[in-house]
Formats: sequence, C-alpha cells, structure tokens
Amino acid sequence: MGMAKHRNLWSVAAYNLWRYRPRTIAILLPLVVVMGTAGSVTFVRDGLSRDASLTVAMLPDITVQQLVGGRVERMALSYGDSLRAVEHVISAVPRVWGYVPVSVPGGEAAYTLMGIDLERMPIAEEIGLSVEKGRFLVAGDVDEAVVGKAFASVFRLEVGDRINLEDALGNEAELQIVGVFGTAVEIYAADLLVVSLETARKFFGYLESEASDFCVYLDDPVYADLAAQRILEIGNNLRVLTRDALGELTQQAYGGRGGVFQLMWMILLLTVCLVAWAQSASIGLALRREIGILKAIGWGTLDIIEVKMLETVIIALLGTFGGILLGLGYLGLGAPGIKQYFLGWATVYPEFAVPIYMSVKSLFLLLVVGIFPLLVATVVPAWLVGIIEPDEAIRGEQ
Amino acid sequence: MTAAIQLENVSKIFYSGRERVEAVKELTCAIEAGEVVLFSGPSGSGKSTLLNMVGCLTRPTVGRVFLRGREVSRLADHFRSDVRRNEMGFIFQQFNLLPGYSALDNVAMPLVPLGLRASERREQAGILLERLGMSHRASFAANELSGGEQQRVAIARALVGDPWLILADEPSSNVDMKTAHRLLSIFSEFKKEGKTLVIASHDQMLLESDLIDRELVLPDGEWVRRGRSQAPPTAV
Repeated sequence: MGMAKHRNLWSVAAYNLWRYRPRTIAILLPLVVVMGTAGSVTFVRDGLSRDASLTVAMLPDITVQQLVGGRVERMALSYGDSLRAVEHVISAVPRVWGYVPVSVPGGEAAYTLMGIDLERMPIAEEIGLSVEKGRFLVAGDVDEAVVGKAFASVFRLEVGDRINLEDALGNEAELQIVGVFGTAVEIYAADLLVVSLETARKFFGYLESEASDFCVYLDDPVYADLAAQRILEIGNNLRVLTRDALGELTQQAYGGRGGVFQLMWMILLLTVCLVAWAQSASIGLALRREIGILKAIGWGTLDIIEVKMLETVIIALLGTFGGILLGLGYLGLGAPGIKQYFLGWATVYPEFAVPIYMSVKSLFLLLVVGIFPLLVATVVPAWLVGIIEPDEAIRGEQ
Repeated sequence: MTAAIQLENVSKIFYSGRERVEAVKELTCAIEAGEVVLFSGPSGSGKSTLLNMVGCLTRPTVGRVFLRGREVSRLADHFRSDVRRNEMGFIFQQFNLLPGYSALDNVAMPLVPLGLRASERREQAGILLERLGMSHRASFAANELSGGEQQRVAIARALVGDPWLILADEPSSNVDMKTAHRLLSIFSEFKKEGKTLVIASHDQMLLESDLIDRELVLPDGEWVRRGRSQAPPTAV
C-alpha cells in the first residue's frame, strides 16, 4: 500500500482544487500578489545588501582621515611615512576623491570622482571588475577617466568621448573616457568615475603634498584593531576606520531602509494570514459534510487531513512560486514604485539597474511564510472536523 | 453462537440547547448473520440513530455495540474507520454522493485509501455499476443523475468493499415507486448472497415485502417476525 496510497491522496487533493476552482482561484490570486510583492522587495533588499558586502570587500583594512573641527579635511602626504611605520602595516596609499554634481534629466546628481594610485591600489576580486570597452587607466594617465557601465549608459558615453565636469567650488575639468568597466557592484557601475591621483588633485585643487585620505593595508587583517589603535597615537585629530567598522556603517545605511522592509514584511505576513483565514473559513458546511461522507465510507481522519494538507501545499507552492515569478517580472520591468525608495541616494539615475539577488535563505523564508500559515489554517479546522463522528459532520452539527 | 450484530443496553442522548433528547433508550437486541432486519417506527423514534450506531457513524451515549463479537462502540477513531471500510456498506437517505466526481469515481472513492491503482479502482467500480444497470452513466457527475440513479450509485459504493453488512437509511423515501421496486429486487439479491441487511424505514412497501425477516419497532424495541424467513427470532 505505502506510497500508492499517498499517490492516490495526491491525485484526490489535486482534483479537489480543480473541482472547487472558484475557491482555489480566490485563495491563489491574493497569495500570488502578496508573495510577488514580498519576493520583489526581498530580492531588491538582498541585492542591495550584497552590493554593500561587495563594497566592503573593496575597502582597505583601515581608512585614515584627518578631522579639523569635526569635519574631514585634506591630509598631508607626510602622514604616509608615519602610517607605514606602524607594526603590521605593509602599505599606506593616498586617495583623492570628492563628489561632482552632474546635470541629469530631472535635476542634478552627485557622482563620485575617485583618484587612485594606479600602481599601488589593489582591486578586490570580489567586485568582479572587468573592462568592457577601451582600457583601464595606467600610470601617467592625466585628464583621462574610466567610468562604470551604468554611468556610460546614462550619459551615452563611448570610449574617446570627452566630458566636462565642474564641482561646487567652480573647479572645472575636461576628461576623456578611455574605458568603460563593468562590476558586480551596481553602485560602482552607476556612480563612479575613476581617474589618476594627479587628475583628481588637479580637479579638486589639491596640492601635490595633499590627499583626501589614506588606504592602509596590513600583513594580516586580524591586526586591524591593534594597528588602528597605534595609528590613533600618531595624532589625536585622525579618524581611523577599520573595514569592519565601515562595513557595519554601510550595512546600517541599507538597514535603515530595511526598517521599512521589515514593516512591509509584517503587513505581508498579516495578509498571508488573512488569506489563510479565508482558506480556513472555506471549510464550511459543504466541506464538513464531505469530510463526514468520506469518513462514513471508510476514510480515516489522517487520510482526510493528508488530502487537506496536500491541497494547501499545492496552493501554497503555486502561490509562492507564482508570486516569485511575478516579483521577478516586476523587477525586470524596473521595479516601479519601490526602486526610488530603495535606491534613494540615486533616484535621478534613469537607468540605474535595481540590484537583485535571490539568496537561499530568502527563498526558504518566502516558502515558510507562504506555506506555514496556510497549512495551520487548513489542517487544524480539517482535523477538528475529522475527529468528530461522521454522522455529526454530515448533519453539520458541532 | 455469536450474533452478527449485538446491542447491549444502548442509549443515545442529544442536547439541543438545554433540551435533552433521548433518541434511543436502553435498547438491547441481536441480529444474526444473513438476516434482513427492518428498524421501523414513526419519525423521531430513533431508527436512523440506531442504524448510525450500528454503522459506527456515531457512538452510543451509554451501552455497547458488537459486530461479530467485537465491541466497536469504544474503538479508537481510526479502527472505526477500518470497520466502516472493511465490514460494512452504508446507503444514506440523501445518497451523500460527492458532487463534482463522476458516478464511477464516487463508487471507487472508498478504495482510495487502500492504495489501489486508479485503473483497478475503476475496474471494480465499473463492475458494480454494470451490475446495478448504471454503466451507461458511469462518467456522469453525481449531480447530473436522477434520484433513482444516484441511489444506485450509492448502493454500488456501499458494495465496493464487498461488505458482509449493508445498512440502509430510508432507502425508498427519495425515489419513485418503480425505483423502489427495483431497490427491493437489489436487496433480495443481497439476501440471497447471504449478506446481513439492516434497513431503517417506515415505508409500508418494505414492511409488506417478503424481504424483511424481522422488524424492530421503535421506540419500544418490540420485535415482530415478518416475511417467510426461517431464521429464529432473537428478540431479547
């Protein structure tokens, strides 16, 4: 008997859903919409969170900045020697960077112009940097830039094009695009213009002896806190940020939006519970009678519960996976409605792709939320009817 | 010799709000294997309740029910399901077919938990529908059948597990005269096959037929010998 019995019960469950099509659709449709919304929000949240993690991978072991009156100020390059003298520090690389306002349809957006030491700045493999057009910068490149794929797409830039930039202080520069890079980190691809240290200094008006900050690399990241402590002893006006601390800040920035995400999840969970309640209430008199008849002709309570459970599992799986597909389709259309919220710092990027990531954990969570409340709401009433005498169930008595 | 069905001092009490209704009161009786017995009496006399207690559809409030010597009134729920599936077939007054399922699938439904393949179940159900002259309606949904046809499907469903005991609740109350006569003829076949048949009815046609061996008149529980049966009266 064994499996054959369960196979039979499966087919009865599937046929019951077909037999009560209007009821099935009435439960399935809201479930698909709810799970679609939950899925799309979750995948965007995961995508942003993943971007944040990859961004952290790009960070140096320690970032050192100078504070004057609590504000970040330019640093003297001479700090580099003091930093390199600290135990476990293998290099201290200066950076020059700042924000550049660029006119875009609908207003202005602040992009990041990053001047890096092309010989000494390591690029983390995790961010999946690849030069898609032209070339990357090499030492000696001045007034040349590489830009992210999304940035190039927004401004329809090609290799060889020139762009004019002007910062808030009126500093101007004309840069030639020598390459377009792609990266697994959507933020980098959309936000970043990479130039040489010299070009950035020239644009922001830095002296040869100045930098925005220092990227400090250690022989072993385990010593980050120890080295950070030693660096603080160099000068009490220094801000020393370890990768872990910056990573935490980055995740918190995403997590702030995650607060609303939590709220949305609670609302969605409540909606699933309402759908579940509707499913539970659908065990009305007609179904009570059917359960009574099945018991009267020799079905056991467990057989009946199994069929009801299978009906729910089929509906929940269809609803959850249908919802996930709907959510992915919605994200594929650019996630109108939630994109602006989640990408709040870059709402003026017309072609900023929404980062999407489907983690196993999120899929599991969606399945649990989609299936569990429905299962409880169906199986418990079915069990309550199943344990009463068939005669009472058929007559509709309690 | 052990009786096929034995009821020991059974009572069934229902509560309707604060009102206490004693549907069956301290009844003791026994029915032999192969007998055709009629539970008769006016409406509300407890015929159906008594039949339901024999059919394990409800438990007596007080007293015990035995089938072939085994007490079934206190069995756990799943054992009572086994008894209903393996030992008896129940023909309901309202037929109680499952809507949306075909006649064939309704007949085969008791076989689903047994793990038989769909083809085997349908084959067995098809044989019974043919026997009851319903094979031409096998694919019709239950709600597309006439009352008489639904009844024959319900009878086929009661027979599908090859039970030794058949219970019928007011079988002739929802069918026309012609169907009722056909029903008598089907029941006569069961009798010839040696099945024990218990019918709850106040239908005069059944009372006057040769089919019934004995009649238990409710609510008093008086036995009346009927028909030409040679079975000994077992009134207690």
